[in-house]
Amino acid sequence: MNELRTDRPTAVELLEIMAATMSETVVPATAPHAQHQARVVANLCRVLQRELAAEHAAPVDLPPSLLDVDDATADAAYPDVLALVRAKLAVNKPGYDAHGAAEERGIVA
Amino acid sequence: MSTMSEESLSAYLSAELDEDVSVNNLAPVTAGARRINVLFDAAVGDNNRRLCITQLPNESDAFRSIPDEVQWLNLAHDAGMKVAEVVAWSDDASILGGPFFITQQIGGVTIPKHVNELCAATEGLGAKVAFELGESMAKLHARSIDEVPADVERPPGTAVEAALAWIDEGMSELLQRSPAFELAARWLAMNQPPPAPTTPVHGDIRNGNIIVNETGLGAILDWETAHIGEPFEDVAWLAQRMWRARNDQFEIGGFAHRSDVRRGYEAGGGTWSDERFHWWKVYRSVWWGLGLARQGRQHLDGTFRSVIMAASGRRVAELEWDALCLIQPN
Repeated sequence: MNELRTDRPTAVELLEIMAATMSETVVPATAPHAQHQARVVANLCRVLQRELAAEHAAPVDLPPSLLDVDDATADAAYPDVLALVRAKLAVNKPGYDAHGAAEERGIVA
Repeated sequence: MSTMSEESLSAYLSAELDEDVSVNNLAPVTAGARRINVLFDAAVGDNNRRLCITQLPNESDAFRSIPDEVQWLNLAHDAGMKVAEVVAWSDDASILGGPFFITQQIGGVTIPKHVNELCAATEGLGAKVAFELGESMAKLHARSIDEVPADVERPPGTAVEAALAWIDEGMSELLQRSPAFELAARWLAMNQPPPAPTTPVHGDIRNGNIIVNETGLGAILDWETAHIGEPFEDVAWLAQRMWRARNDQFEIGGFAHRSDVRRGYEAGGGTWSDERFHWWKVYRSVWWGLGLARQGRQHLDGTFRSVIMAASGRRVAELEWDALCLIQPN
């Protein structure tokens, strides 16, 4: 019955139109000194829209700190930590993870 | 107190150069809270000189005083780096409303995307700019720290020790732990390069702080963060992903390869080390990630409330990703 506690448009739907309004109407009509801030607000609306729509991944079990662990523990944690950051990027900056460790090594020339 | 105008600039330059100077065509190029940059023409006798003035409207917001920045610019110019030569300067706020310095004007583009477009459209330009960046950096790094303004901090130990201490501090201030930066900090502590002498460093040489034109590198800008450090702190900063304007196939600024910088660095008298380059590349990703986290925190604790600072907190993951990519276990 939770869906009856709020009205449509949903939060995700509202954020979608808020981002579009900022980008298409507000940014072009804004003075230069505030234009960058208006763009950032539009982008944050999109970030929130993705965050609310994202499926929550299972919590990762990591040691309390990775600063002073041995090599085996650090290497074992690496894929989990990478996945954690990948999940954040899916919300904050989709597509950023398309360029990874192999690609970064590959461009060294 | 005067403000910046054609009249006040004409009067100041006439007195300073002891000639009849007529200023016109004031064209503001950037107007930030901390710095104002305005291009202008100055008719000096029969000559028209194209100049640029940098002014600090609020001295208390500045990272560095005008006399200090001028001393850095003169050091760089004497070293043979590509920088704009200082024509005049004053820290007397009564002249134009804030301390300022005036340099020769250098034509070209500064916006990273435009730099990359110009390099892509001009055969060999990207490699040349990178070569000249390497050469300029080597010339700065060859200078003695005794030439650096007296009130610039002299770190007691090595630059690597100072860097690791900075990371410790940044990690301890995080509002929530960063497992990615923990792994990176651990890697940095375990893979320290051998100690190297400290030198003057610019601290922020990157696509976005350089003027590029059809003939190559015009000038290295923005000496606000120049300090005493280690050469590869400068060199590796050039290679950070965030300065590539999405042009990720080129490691250096989105327009050139590491080997182009290396050739210039060695031509300028510098000694290259891929090991040091890599260590500082990892360090600088963590350093900037912790810097972004600090901006987000400054918004939350009220030190600097702003949507830009708040958004910085959501950019930390990009630098976590960059750092993890550089330390991937074999």
